[in-house]
Amino acid sequence: MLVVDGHLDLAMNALQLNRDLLTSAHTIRSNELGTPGVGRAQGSVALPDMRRGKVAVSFATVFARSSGQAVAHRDYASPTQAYAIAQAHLAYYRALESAGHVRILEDNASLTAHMRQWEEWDSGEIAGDGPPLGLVIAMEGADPLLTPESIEEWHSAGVRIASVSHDGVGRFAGGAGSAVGITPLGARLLPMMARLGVVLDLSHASDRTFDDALQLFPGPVLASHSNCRSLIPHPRLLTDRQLSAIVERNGVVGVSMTGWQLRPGRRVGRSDEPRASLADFIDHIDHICQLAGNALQVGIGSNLAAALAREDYPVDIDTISDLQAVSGALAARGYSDADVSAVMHGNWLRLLDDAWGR
Amino acid sequence: MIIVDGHLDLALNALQGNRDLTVSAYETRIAEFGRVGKGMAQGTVALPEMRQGRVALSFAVLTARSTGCVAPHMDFASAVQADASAHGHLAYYRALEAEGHARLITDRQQLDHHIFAWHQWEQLADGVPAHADMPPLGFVVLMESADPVLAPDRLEVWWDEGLRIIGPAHFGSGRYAGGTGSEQGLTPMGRELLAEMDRLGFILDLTHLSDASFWEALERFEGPVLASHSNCRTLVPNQRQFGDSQIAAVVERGGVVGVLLGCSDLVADWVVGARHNGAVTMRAVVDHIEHACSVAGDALHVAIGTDLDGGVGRDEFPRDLDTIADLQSLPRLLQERGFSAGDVDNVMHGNWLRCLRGAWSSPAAARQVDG
Repeated sequence: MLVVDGHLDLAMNALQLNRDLLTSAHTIRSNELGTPGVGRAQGSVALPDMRRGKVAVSFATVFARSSGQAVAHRDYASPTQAYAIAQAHLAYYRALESAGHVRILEDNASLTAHMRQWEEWDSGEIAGDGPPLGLVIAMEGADPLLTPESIEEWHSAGVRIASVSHDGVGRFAGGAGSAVGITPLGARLLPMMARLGVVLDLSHASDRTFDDALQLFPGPVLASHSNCRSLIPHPRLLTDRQLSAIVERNGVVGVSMTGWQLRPGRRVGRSDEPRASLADFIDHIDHICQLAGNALQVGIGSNLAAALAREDYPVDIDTISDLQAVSGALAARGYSDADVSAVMHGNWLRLLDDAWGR
Repeated sequence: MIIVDGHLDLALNALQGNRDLTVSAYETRIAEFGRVGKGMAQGTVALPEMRQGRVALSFAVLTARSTGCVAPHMDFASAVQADASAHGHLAYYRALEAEGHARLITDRQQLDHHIFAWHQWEQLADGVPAHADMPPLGFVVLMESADPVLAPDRLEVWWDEGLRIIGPAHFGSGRYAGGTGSEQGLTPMGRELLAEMDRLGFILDLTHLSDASFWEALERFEGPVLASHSNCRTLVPNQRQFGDSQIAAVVERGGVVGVLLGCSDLVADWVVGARHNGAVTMRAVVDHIEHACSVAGDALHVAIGTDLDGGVGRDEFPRDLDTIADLQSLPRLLQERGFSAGDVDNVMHGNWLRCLRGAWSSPAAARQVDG
């Protein structure tokens, strides 16, 4: 079953963690034995594993914060620096594309042709290792934009999805855990995004930003990697009201595989606490489906490349290739074949199709 | 006195070191206070200090190795990653340009215009403390280690993006050539790279090449050469520096050698990171300039390529230099050593400018301009 994954920080792994994603996750692990740092020698994502997991399309992030609280290799001392790092992320995807490993998808024609090729390969009609992996470029947090208007330049360069903030207070909006909403810069950005057809990603938005953004942004919305706050009480997750608001806009919510977003009481890096499982993951998918009244507004946003340790992902997931297990778990929970394929890929594809059809 | 500096790793400091170069080096020292790491809270380079030091032009570096010896943020596990990281460096310079801080210089006309503007400013500014109408800082983009170039036939794209000078290797055995600490020569791909550099009109930076790579590159490459930051092996006997025959070979080609300021490159007995090194002053820089000039037989082939932001801090540079602004002490020290006023000008900026003008008036450069 083909998979679309709504959130993978591939370039951050390559450029900030120095992982060669052309080699398998297991190879990278062995190269990192003895390297200090969270999640080292425990990565779950690389291109060969994505291929094995039939991840035909993923939303690949360009990510560099500049919130005023500098953090090495993550939150930069000036927007100029964040801009350049995000450009490097984009250059990585372009370099992978020129080497034939990936295909950057920017419109409906390329998406349709891409999916047809993957389906033919999946059904055995064409041989080989499979077509290039499809990437939709997503900017996570708008801090790399030097001005709101420069989103146009990034759109021309391939960015098709953008969120306004990461955690904390960014230049364009307050993120999860802050009381800040859309800033004046953000209020200039959102209409520009809508005009260009850039999809708004609501993951990491603060509650105020969420409401402000829905008011200011008339275009298509999604939450690339956010779970249900009614199951895990944390401001990073979406309340039932917020989930319903996304459903009302015919958006899609990508359910994340980070353990702390899945299992109540599980905290990051706490080996002493029980690990999350695929069953917890299905609980979140099911909660959203019950709320929506159908299985059309939810997808996978694994976030498996977030540089966490393996123990902070479900116990039954070793690498991203194990996303293939999600379909069976859904079927076991009573989901019909049509609903399973909707969750595995159909819903994300419909959203892109709608957004790009305009 | 305006200064041309042949080697600054600005983007590496901004993107891997997370330094906002638009604020002063002193502000960054305070921001980094208490942080652990090589050179932390001891930075010497930022754009305000470059302006204060009148560094009108510098060779601004893109650096991202992929030698197979992985090192975080420096030596990448694949060429694709190095390509992307170097593109980040270039994007940083372009963004500084868009914000009015810098100007990327890629041809003779831009160079002449830029230097004219600086001379004009300097005439007006002397005696006036305000720096109000100072022109932007000029950058000529230099790639240190060609590892980010995915294949020699991709070089034209880099040319179009503004790259003008390439040093094929850095430390270790790179994809194109053996560098410092290696005895490897050019690789087969390195030979193709040099041919393509010649075709497009690139300048070859010989710094950091292994001896084997140095001599083979000089023999194969027909275009203009320089050494952006290399000192004299006679004074500091290690492979990182140039022997007299190497300096003479660069001079014979009309090239220029930039003298660097790291104490371990200035004196033979300096131990990097040690607490009890002897006193090294800017006079040691003059020692290298003087020696290289004596090999050359004139003062037309030596300049400075400070490398002041190459990953170490203030304590690894001469004690009478605090920031890059203090480069302004060099003219006086050169005069004290007997350099004529004209020779001082040449060392401080004239030689690099002549080197660039020569390179950009060459047949290959003319072909580029004609399109």
